[in-house]
Amino acid sequence: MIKDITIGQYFPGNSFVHKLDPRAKLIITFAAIIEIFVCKNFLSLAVIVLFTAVAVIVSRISLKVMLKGLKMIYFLIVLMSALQIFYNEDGDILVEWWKIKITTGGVYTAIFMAVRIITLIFISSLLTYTTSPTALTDGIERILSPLKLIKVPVDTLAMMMSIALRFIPTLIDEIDKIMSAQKARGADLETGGIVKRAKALIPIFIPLFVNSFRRAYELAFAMECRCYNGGNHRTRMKQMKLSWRDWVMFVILAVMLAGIILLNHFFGEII
Amino acid sequence: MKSKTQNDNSLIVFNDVSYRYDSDTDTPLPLALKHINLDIKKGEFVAVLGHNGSGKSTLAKLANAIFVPESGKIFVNGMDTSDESLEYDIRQTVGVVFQNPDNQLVATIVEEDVAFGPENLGIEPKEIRRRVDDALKAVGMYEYRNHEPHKLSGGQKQRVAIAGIMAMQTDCIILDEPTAMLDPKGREEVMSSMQKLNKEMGITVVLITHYMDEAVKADRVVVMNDGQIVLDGTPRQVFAQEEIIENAGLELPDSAKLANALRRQGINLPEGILTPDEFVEAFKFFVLGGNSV
Amino acid sequence: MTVLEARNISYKYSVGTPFEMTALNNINLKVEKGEMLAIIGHTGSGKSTLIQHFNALLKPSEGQILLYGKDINESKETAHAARFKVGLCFQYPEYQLFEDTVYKDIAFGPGNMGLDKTEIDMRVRRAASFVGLNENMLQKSPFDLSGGEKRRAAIAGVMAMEPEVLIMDEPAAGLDPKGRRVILDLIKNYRRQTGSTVIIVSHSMEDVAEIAEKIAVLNHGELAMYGTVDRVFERSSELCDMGLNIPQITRIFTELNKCGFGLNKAVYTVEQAERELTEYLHKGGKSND
Repeated sequence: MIKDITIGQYFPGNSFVHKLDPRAKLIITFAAIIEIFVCKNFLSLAVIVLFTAVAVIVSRISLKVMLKGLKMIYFLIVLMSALQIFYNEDGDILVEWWKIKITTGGVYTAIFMAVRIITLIFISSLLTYTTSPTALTDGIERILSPLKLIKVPVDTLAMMMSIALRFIPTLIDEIDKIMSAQKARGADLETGGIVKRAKALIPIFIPLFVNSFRRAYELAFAMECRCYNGGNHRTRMKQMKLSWRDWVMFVILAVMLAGIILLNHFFGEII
Repeated sequence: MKSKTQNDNSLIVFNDVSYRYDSDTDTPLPLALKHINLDIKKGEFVAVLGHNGSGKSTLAKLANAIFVPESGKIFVNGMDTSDESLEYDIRQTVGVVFQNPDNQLVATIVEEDVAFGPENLGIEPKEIRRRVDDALKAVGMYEYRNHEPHKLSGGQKQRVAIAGIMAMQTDCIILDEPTAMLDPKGREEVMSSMQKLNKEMGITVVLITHYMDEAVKADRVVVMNDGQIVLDGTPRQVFAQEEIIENAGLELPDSAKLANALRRQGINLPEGILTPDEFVEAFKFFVLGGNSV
Repeated sequence: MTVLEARNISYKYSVGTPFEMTALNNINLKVEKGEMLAIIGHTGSGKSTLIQHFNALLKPSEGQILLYGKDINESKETAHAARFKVGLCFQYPEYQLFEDTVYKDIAFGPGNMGLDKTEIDMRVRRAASFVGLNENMLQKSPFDLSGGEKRRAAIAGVMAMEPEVLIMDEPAAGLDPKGRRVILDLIKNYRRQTGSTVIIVSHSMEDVAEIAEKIAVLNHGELAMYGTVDRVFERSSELCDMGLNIPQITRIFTELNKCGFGLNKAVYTVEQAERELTEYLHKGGKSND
């Protein structure tokens, strides 16, 4: 059923990672992703893998959940590793069969790439797992707020995003209801070719659009009644303040970056 | 009933107000409100009754300066609603809770939704926090402050919407059919929140509804039909006018209907019976003359 | 004759996850032909889940739904056929209107049944007349109708399939007294003219008291009571305990009986009450002369 889809998966908690300021978390995630790409050998990669492992453990998000996030790109990892194995011809030859050569260089880069992608996915999913969509929107809004100076309507964009988040579950419920109702009138949504199936969606989407416009209209009234005027002079109940935690993390990332560069330099690059 | 001059006690004054919706075609639509005169006093609990299309919901949007009258004037705490510069002051005085609980909650977390109004007013974060907590406690939703609105029941959502208006510290809350989409439990929750607001906090409450049993709980009932006010008085006075009520497309509560039916048969029950309890008392008194069985 | 039967129906949501929940627990219910049944219960009692079993929108986790003695979930075909034999009109059905004319919208169901044009036309007009929509309205866009008219157009869309059993979830929800009256009258009228079996789900005990013959009470996914309206409203204190309202009139009679009046327990409409009380006063009670 459509209802089973979860969006912006957030696992509430009280860990160190949860408590980080959303702005700091965005910056840390971004910095960590850059650092992943700075790594040029297994030693430097080990630093960032260790960092990710500690972050996952501290966040108390179960490994099962983390691995679930890989499911979607499992195929991509295998494909990329395979390409490396078959096309990279550096190093000693391990296996040679017909036109295919597997070399140590190929195996190393394949493993390197796989670990890199997995770490990347872990770090970015950790951000969404430990930050509520609202906090994330707020964080983005505040990081981008300097753009207001060049007339980018950051408040309005953030408000749109938060309304979208608010209404996604409502609309999912609604699609579910409309589908059941049209099925009850004998609508066949499951069989037939593409054209027939596309046509079968008309009775779902027209009411959905009509209802959404009605909702938007009513919501606009309600927001106006509550003195919304596009975000000028708005204050926020929840102030964001960087705490010692955030500064500790910034320092850790800076030290890590230095370490990675040094390790790259002294232990050779494999990629 | 007419109040051309405003006295200190008035909160919302409609002075000969007419209103018409914009038409999609060249022919203008008929008037939705016709020469309305209404004076809502501070601290009152007024129920506005009428069938769909009687103009009762238009009243809410006019009092809140969302719409401006075609003719006549509306004053909110002395402020003219047609003066655009007063819009925000008016909306800080009169807040509106709408019918569909889903379509008026903005944020993904209950307490942030309640904070939305005060945030728009540019209030200090600490003060917002205090108001949000107070408002949520007042409607009994404090424990749910970190919940997501879409996981709440209809009655709970509506109470969050009420808290959202309370946090703006308006003098008056207009509720536009707040219970029409709720189940009996949700209706009860919202009704008791409303009564608490009025009785304990002195907030003026205007309840727009078509449920008679809700109107019974108000201090004053205004009945609308065809864009006009046809009755205005205490619930007892108003519900005694069965014919006018029925002509206005409304129905009396069953207890009142039964009492009226018996009275027509010559059974001497007192006028103005509205609730089952009142009926039972009156019938007992009639049969036993005050003695117990 | 039994038209529809729920035999040991249980239904669980999200089986195999931590959110597993039993929505229905071992429901047994028989609906006789031509009967008017009301299903009542508080929100979350399983009413809506149960009715979606009757037309195979949901498949029971355990048990069977029998239509004329045959399991409707036997195959895909029987499940699909059940949609037409058991018409289900959801709550706020006006939000499902989609065609550019009312006529086409009402014709959607019959069209899905694969009927020929003349048959569809006949059914659309018949259904429209049941709900009181005239020729002029049939050619309008459903989105231009008033709230009450939209509701009736949507109901006609289900009636036009001419189901053996018509199920309506909260048909009068959100309507004003006038709109509610129109809907209740049209349901009564539909039954009188077609002799169909009708099931309504409602929160409003006054509505149930007015039109139903039998009541099934659901409580936390179980069938708590099932019987004639008289028998069910007699147990008003149990209904109150389940968080259900009882009709005002029933409340009055319960209270009076508590004071020893010894009146008929099963009274729930104004007309019945008027008769009962005048009779009481004529027989033994005091009158005012």
